[in-house]
Amino acid sequence: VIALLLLLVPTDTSVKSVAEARTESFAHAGAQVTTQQSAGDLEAGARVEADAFDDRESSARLERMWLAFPLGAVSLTLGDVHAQLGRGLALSLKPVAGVGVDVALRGVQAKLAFDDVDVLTMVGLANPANLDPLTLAPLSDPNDAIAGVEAVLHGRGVNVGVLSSAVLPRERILDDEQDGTVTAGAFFDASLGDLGFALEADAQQKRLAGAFQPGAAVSTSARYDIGPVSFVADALWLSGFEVKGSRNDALAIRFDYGRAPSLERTDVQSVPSGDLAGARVTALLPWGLEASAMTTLTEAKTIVDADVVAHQSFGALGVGVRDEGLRRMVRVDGEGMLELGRGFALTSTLKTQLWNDHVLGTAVVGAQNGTAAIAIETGIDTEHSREQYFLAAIASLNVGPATLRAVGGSQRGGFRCAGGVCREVPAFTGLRLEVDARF
Amino acid sequence: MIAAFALALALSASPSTTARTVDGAQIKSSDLKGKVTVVAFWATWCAPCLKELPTLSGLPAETRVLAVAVDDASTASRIPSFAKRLAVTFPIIHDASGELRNKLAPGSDVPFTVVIDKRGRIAWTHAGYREGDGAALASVVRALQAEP
Repeated sequence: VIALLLLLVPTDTSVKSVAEARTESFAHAGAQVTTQQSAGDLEAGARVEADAFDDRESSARLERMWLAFPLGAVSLTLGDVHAQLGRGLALSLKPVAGVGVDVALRGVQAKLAFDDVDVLTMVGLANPANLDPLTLAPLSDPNDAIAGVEAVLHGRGVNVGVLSSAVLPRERILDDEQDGTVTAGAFFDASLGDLGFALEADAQQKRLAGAFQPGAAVSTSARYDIGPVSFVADALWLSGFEVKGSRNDALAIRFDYGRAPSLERTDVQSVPSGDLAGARVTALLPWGLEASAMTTLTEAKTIVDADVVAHQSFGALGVGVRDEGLRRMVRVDGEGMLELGRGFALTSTLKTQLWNDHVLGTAVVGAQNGTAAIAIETGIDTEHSREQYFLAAIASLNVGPATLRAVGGSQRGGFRCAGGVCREVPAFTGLRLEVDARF
Repeated sequence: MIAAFALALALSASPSTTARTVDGAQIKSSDLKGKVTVVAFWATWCAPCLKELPTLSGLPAETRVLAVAVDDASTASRIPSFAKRLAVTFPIIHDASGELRNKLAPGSDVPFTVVIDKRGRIAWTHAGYREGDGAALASVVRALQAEP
């Protein structure tokens, strides 16, 4: 029905396609077409993906489909939805493009919006994209059952809410015992002029292999503006808290349907879910300066991290230090753009991590005008006693509604973090062509 | 059958979907029709976004501007401070769930700008921000405003 609706009058369609040949591994060509159609308050959409490989079976999939419409005071969505409850600890089904996270809930979502109260409910099955975008490994649907509800009371700059989520993994630890996690919590946030405060506290009961295990979490942030200076303090406490599903067969770890706000600011392996207590204080200063200090305590180690960043109109430069007890790191990160006039500019990006026993780094230098860009990317990775150097050429061109991008050479992999999610990204060697277009 | 049922529901006088600004105001999707709307996706950690936001105040009169912050909970508390520093006067929505971004700018990095025409349709999108992009955006808006 959705496909039929979309075929009738497709008004917004985006196409992402890629063709790549990876040295020492495989060749791949893929396309992702997303189309949405709306008529009045009715909206329908679908995303189709197709991938062809030279060393394995090709596939085409209807990855996403949804139909949204109002029903009285309720906004209903049938099909695939992305959603989050509160600050995301109890349930966060939110796509994070940079690290290839794309899990939707395939089911029913209902939103009730009154003047002062919003209510969100959802129930369905976890539906990840069936090809891991970073490793291109096939990923089967876990079909974990997920339900969530949230109610928020809105005042003038103040929101108070309660939430609850339940996850029943399809894959069981013991065949005759249903595992599951039920979480309930409350949150509060206020933004009153120069002051801001946010807090979420959750408690959970997990049933794993027939045994009950409690968990608890608290996440809080506070902000205070004093003239041109702002102070922001964040804290996180987790005790046996996790919202896990079945095994992700592409990454060989369990799906994580909750996402605690990260205190980390860099691409450093964050502490896995488990017991931790941490805090971060940030001062936003005049002249684009920002200073931040963080400490996290876990059973395994104590982490102390501090950095200073200067943001200017032509770019930013940051310097940081980190101590994890057994290892230490100094980092320098920066990005810059030098406008040359007539739309031409020189660009540069630098990311370095100088650990006591290895070095990770990427530097990109390029030039661009309004429609085209070229760049050279170099990288170094000496972790685990290996010594690897990377060199790639990158070019992009805007043609009407399309952007063409070509990458040739080798690019450093390693740990990458985005939106509070961190994962290992494989290095790339070969040639890749990408076309993104929207009609 | 389902489509006919859904269509009938859509045509009935029902409230539209809503979003909340960071100061608690409610914005209905039906409010977005009748005026050209510029939706700017940004984040407090995105340097080009912080350059772009102040320029949006200079768009032609009668342009509705919405800034959608995509910060997750680990940096969301900074949004009001940054809005104040950048002297942003237009409404800011915090897209905590990623729902708006997924709908209007799927898979895109920030900054990402979407222009919606008077009939509520996506008319133009642009990724990134460089000096001079503001002029191109203004001319797109003027052309859409001239449409009936």
